[in-house]
Parts: sequence; structure tokens; C-alpha cells
Amino acid sequence: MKRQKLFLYIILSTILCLSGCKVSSYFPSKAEIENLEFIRILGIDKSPQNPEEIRVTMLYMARESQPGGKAGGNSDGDQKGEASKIRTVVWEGRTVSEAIKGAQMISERQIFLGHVFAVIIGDEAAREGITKYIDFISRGMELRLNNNVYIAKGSTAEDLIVKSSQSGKSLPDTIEHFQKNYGSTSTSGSLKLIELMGKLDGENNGIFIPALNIVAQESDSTQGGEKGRENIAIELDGYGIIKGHMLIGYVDKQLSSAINILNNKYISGDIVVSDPYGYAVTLEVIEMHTKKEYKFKGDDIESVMLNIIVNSNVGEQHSNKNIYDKASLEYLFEQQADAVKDSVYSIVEYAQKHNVDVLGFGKSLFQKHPVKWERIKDDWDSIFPNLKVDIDVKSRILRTYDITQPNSMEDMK
Amino acid sequence: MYFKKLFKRKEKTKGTITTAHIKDILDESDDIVFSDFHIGANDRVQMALLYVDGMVETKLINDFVLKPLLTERWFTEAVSSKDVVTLIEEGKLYFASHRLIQDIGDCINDVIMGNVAIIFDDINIAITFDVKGFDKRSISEPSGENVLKGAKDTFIEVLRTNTALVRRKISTPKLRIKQVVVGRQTLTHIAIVYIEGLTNKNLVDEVIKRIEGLDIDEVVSIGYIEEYIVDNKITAFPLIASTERTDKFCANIISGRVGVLIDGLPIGLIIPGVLNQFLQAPEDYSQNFLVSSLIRLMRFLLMILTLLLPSIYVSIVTFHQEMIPTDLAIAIAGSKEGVPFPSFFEILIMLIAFEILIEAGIRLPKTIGNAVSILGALVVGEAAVSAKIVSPGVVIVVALAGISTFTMPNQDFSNALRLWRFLLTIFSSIAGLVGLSIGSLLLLFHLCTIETFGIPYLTPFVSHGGKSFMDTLFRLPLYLNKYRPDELKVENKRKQR
Repeated sequence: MKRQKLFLYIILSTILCLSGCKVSSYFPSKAEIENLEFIRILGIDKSPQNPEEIRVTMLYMARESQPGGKAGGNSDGDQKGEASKIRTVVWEGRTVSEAIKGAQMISERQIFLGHVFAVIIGDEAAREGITKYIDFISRGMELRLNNNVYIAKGSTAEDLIVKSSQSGKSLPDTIEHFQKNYGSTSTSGSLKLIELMGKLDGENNGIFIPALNIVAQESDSTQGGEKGRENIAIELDGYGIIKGHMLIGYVDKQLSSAINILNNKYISGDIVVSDPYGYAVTLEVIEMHTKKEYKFKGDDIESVMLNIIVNSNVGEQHSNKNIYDKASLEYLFEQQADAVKDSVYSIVEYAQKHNVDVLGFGKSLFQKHPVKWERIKDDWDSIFPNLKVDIDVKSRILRTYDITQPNSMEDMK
Repeated sequence: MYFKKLFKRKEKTKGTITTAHIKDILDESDDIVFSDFHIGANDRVQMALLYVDGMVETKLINDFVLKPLLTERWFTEAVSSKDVVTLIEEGKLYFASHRLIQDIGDCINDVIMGNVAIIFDDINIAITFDVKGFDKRSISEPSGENVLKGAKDTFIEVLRTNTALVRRKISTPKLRIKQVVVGRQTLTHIAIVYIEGLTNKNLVDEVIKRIEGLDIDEVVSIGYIEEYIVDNKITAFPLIASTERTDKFCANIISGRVGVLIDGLPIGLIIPGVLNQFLQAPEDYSQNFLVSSLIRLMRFLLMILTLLLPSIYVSIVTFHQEMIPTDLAIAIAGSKEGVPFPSFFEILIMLIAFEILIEAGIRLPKTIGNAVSILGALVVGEAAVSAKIVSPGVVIVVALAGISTFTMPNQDFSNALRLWRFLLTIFSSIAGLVGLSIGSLLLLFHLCTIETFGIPYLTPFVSHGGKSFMDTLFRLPLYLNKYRPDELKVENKRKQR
């Protein structure tokens, strides 16, 4: 019995001492849920007025009982529907932490970051270097490591957040839909904070962060009329490329797809090619896999062979001709392979030109040839831009869905 | 024979058997009936008839005791009391059970138990006849342990009927029913039921020893036995299982447990009772094993739910809001707007209200009980939410926890869970999930320290694993379950080929 009690005391003291709380308080801090303001999006920018300061924009959803009205620097509480629920708070400080705590002074509730869904870093801030901005979100106890990180392409995070709220759509929902629909296009994926931290800590890892872009529909905005919220939309537009912790530029959707192909993150998407008669054919990719093979001469790496397998189904055919004979199919296989090759060559060219290994070569070298990687990793920056890259694409078309031949096919008539 | 059962405890009364003596002891009571008779040749033999009015069948006395004594030739020719006693002993008075008594204490005890005594003053001898005839409730359907497919008979308040019910179900000649008398004032008969050559002898001896050792005034409810004989008295958890169902009682006897039946109580006790037993229902064995296994697993999950749900709610709403899905967190926060109390207090109010409703439902007659339930549900559920005294989330949490409690097959066990639910909620309100962990650990520690008649309470989860697991979280097919529970250390482990 004494041993049992001793064992109990040891467990209890362990629970208390290792709870991860500050020494002065063993127990977690207490707050009633209705007194918290659940921040959903955290935007980080450089202050436009004071370059030394950081501007933080926080988006949250108003509760049913919460009256409309300004809750901070920017808001549009008078609008109807979804927009009427969206609130933003903006504050500046020397650090992200100081800015958030400053915003606490004007918030009617306690700011709570445990429900942040995405962190958006402004273009200018990202070009300056992202490490100082993400330190707080990596370190903070409330924030989760599975937050999504995005870059506001060509704008500030504040602008993006505020304009998105004006569009009447919930930005967290929009981003969530982007993530769910990734499989249909495989252009820009998502990046979790913990993945970003891993990449920043890793060696020679090119980093690509999904970019969000504000797109204005041409109908009203070009006529100089009043900007309605339906005229503004947020688009997921390729990746922002980070080198040395700084944003160096963006790649478009096609190159983003190629990055995903090389990193084996491509799920599905359309490849539009021409049939032997010059009409468009949509090939829906159902499998895309890349295998990287490295050729060495002694300890020196000579070249990389990219073996890509692409299998697809015919999703759409514009001609009314039979394109399912052997010759036509082989033509389509070739067209598909060429389309993939073109994309991959383009991104290889971009990566080597900017000397940023977003292709995952360094990572796979480390995994496949760890001893050799140890010897060449210090020189990787000089090796990578000149590395010979060969591509072999094995292309096949497998199915045609519900119908094989097009309607009103010429030969049948 | 009933009279041959050993009375371990009896009223200590001294003196020879005479009508005067007995009158001295009993004459204050108006329900004691004395009648003097003269029988034999020339009415030479004087005897007195003694019984307790209301406890005997007078027709039996008239037809099978008095009539033969007054009319049969053997008795009318008898010349002395000694002759009459000899004739009765020889079986001339054809009554199935009679007993010759020379001790006044035995005589009075027999009369009080519902026998009739013929007292012969001159030779200081009494003969008692079993003519019990008091009113008793008929065997009815179970009220608290209903099953769809299963026996419908339950124990009643008469010990002998209950032992007969058990005997009908367990017909083996090895079934033993040992009786002891407990209670200085109530002289309650308690039957200890087991199977010779199967039940662990040590367990039987220990149960008999503990019950015989009781020196209390009365046994009017099972608590008078249960609380005195269990090992660990400071616990809310039941250490002895109780049932009103005869099939459940008998199944446990056959498994190697010891049963206890108390005269005057329609409930059988099963010794020992471990946690696993309280999560098993008789119906588990009359349904398909896959269905039973699923239900039993669900019962275990519901036990955890009823115990932890309110405390988890308090923890995550007050301390760990990041754990709640965002939309739900916003909905909860919105619904709590305007409620002046902290979440812990809300839960406490609702838990107490729930307990009040249960208590009211039990005490009130059935017709009013329903009205109270409706009123309670309306007031507590609807009005309290509308009046912003509690939030809807709290009502849902407490209702879920409450309904889960009702799925527990044993009421005593569910009461223990209700008590610990309060304690864990208090722990959670102090330190969130850390507090809940500490509280749960204390509960686990408490359960680990409990033993019932030498068997760990958490058996077979903490000891005697292996084969015993077949009948725990899942109910495996009966043909696979070939052995009796290991922990009972039965003398015959295998129950089927």
C-alpha cells in the first residue's frame, strides 16, 4: 500500500511539474469561452509608415449577438450576410507579439490565437525575409503548428484580408475550399507552419509557399464604377519562391504544377493537347509519379534522370473523328508526354537559373545517397545550377469514361 | 427438512416449557393465541395450542392437527401426554413436518416464525408443526432489470419461495443452501447459496463467517448486510452485486460465486462483485454474440462518457478552447453570450437539477412522476436556457451524460459513477485537463486498491487476464467460453467440453 501511494505521489507531481506551464502556476490559465475573440486569419506586413514596425491584421467572425460596427482599424460591419459577420483588427508594433497585444487594447474580448487557420505574409515583408515574422507564430503557445502559411502576391496581407472581407466571402472558408479542391488542379498546394519550419531549418531546401492573389473582375472595376464586393475575389495563384529566407519571386500555375510533379504531390489535373486532326483533347491525369535517379562519377554527381509516369483518361474530345486507333493514340501519348516534359523543363530551367532547389533534388539525394550527399552538400549551391537533368516520360491513356467514340462520329455516318 | 436447519442465533430464553412460562414471555402481545384442549381417554391429557395469529393457516391446524388429535382412535385412547407425544413421533398424526422441542427458546422462535406449537405442561415438551400461512406477494415480472428475451420471474419477500426458485433453476443435488439468523430484534433468516464441489470453499467459509459474525439489531434492507461484510467500506462503488432476477442470480452461482438471500427482501446478493460484472446485462447472453459484443462495448464507452463528459466540457470550454473545432467554438461562445455564470457553475447547476429530477421521479407515484419529468425537462431545459441561466451546450452535455448513466445495468454502479462525475468536474474546473487527469488517476488508483473478498475490483483487467477477457469488453460465442472466471478460484474450472 505504501508503495502504491508513493507511486501515486510520483505520478501526480510529474503531471504538475511537466505540464509545460510557467513555474509560478502549475495549472493552465482560465478564460471563459464567451470572453474570447477567435482570430481566424493573421496577416503580417511591414508598417507602411514606420519601416521598423510590423503591422498585424487579424480577421475574426462576429457572433450572432455581436452588433455591427468597427472593431478596429478596418471593418465593414454594416454589410449584409457573411460580410456582416467579418471583422478585422489592425495594430502595429515593433514585434508581432507587441502588435497583437496592442490590438488587445481595442478589442472588446480577449484575443485568442488558438483558432488561427492561416497566416498570410505580405509581399514586401516576405521579400525582406520571413524568419522574423514566423518566429512568434512558431513559438507562441496558443498558435497551432498546423496553421497554413500563405504569401500575399504583390500586395500586403492587410489589403488582401480587408478586400476579401469586402467581397462578402469568408476568407478562412475560401482558403479551406482551395485546400479541398487541390486534387482537381494540383497547381498550388498548402503549406503547414510545421513544414515551413522544417524547411527553414533544413539545408539546401528550396521553399515554395502558396500565393494568394486579389483578382478584380473586369466588368465593374474597369468602368470606374463603385466597387461592389462581388467584383473582388481571392485566387490561389502559384507559389512564392523563397531563397535564403527571402521571397525572390513567383511561379505561375503551370510551373507550380511542375513543382508538384517533381515533388510527387501532383494528384490530378487536366492536360489539354491536340489530336492528329488539330482539335483539342482534354486528358485527365489519374496518376503522375516521378522517380529521380542520380548518376555519379566517383563522388561527383553527373546528372539526374527524371522518370515520370503519367496515366490519364480522355475527359473531352472536340473532334468527331476516331482517335482511338493505334496511330492516333500513340500521337496523343506523345503529345501528353511533351506537355509534361515542357512544364518540367521550364521549372528546372527556372530553378537552376535562380539557384533554388524547389525540385526536391537535395532532399531525395539525402534520402537515397546519404553518404554521397554528406560529401557534396556544401557545394550544392554550385553543383545544382549546372546539373544535367534528363527527363523520360512514360505516357499512357487508359480510359474514356462513359463513351468511347464521340457523338456524330464521321466514320459511323 | 426445514426444522433440521441449523439456527445459529436464537433468542436466549431460559426456563422449562410450560404454558405459564410462555405466557409470561409473550402475553403482552394480542396476536398470540393460546387455546387449552383436553384429549385422550376421559380427557385425561391436557395440552395447549399456541400460534401467532395471521402467520398460520388455521385450516391446516384444524384439519391436520386438532381434528386427528380429537377424533383418531389412537389419540382418543391415550391416557397420558407421554403417550400422545410417542404417537406423534411414531407418525400417527400424519403431518409432514413436526419437531419435538424441549427448549423454551426454540419453541418461542418456532412459533414466531409461523409454526403452531402443542404444549404439554406436565412433561415440559412442545411439538411444533409447520403451518405457515401468512400472505405473500406472488412472483412478478422484474421492475428494474427488464429484458426482452429472458425469464420473467423475480425474487419475492419470502425466503423459502426464493430458495425454491433457485432450486428449480439449479437442480443439481450439490446445490447447498445454508441458513443463518441475523438480527437481534428481527431474527432474519439469511440463506447462503453455493454449489458444493464447484464454488471456492474458502470463499463460502469467508461469507458464512462474515455473516455469522454480524451482531446487529435488524436486517431490513440489503445495506445492513452489504455494508458490514465488504472489505473496503469507504467507496461509492458496489462490491457486491445485487439482482432481483433469478436467472442472473443462478448464472452467477453456477459461475462459482456465492449467493445470499435475505428473508423479507426480494433481492439476491452475489458475492463477490467486480466492476466487469456491473457492465454485464442478462440479455447479453440471450442475444447474438456480435450484437451483444457491440452493445457491451458501447456500454463501456458510455460509462466513460457519463463519467467524463461534463468534466471534459468544463475543461475545454474554460481552459483548452483551441481543442474545439472552430465553428463549434464560435457557436458555443455565441450561445453563452448573456449567461452570467462560469461554465463550471452552469454544469454544476444542471447536474444538481438532474439529480433532483431523478430523486423526485423515484419518490413520487408513477402518475405524478411523469408530470414531474415533463415539468423538469421544460423548466430546466427550455426555460433555463431562455432565461440565460444556462447555455444550450450545457443542457446537451448534462442530458447526454445523464442518459448514458441509465444504460448502466446496475443502479448502484451508476450511482457511483454519478458521484465521481461531480468530483471529476470539480477537478476539471480547477486545472482543466491537467485536473481531469489527476482526478481520473485518483479514480483509477482508488479502483485499483479496492478488493472484494480477496479479488481485485478491476479483475480481469488488472489480473487474471487471458481466458477471462472473453467475457469483458466483448461477449465472445458461448462455445468458446469454456472456463469459469479464473479469479474465483473455483474447484471445477471447466464449465463445458
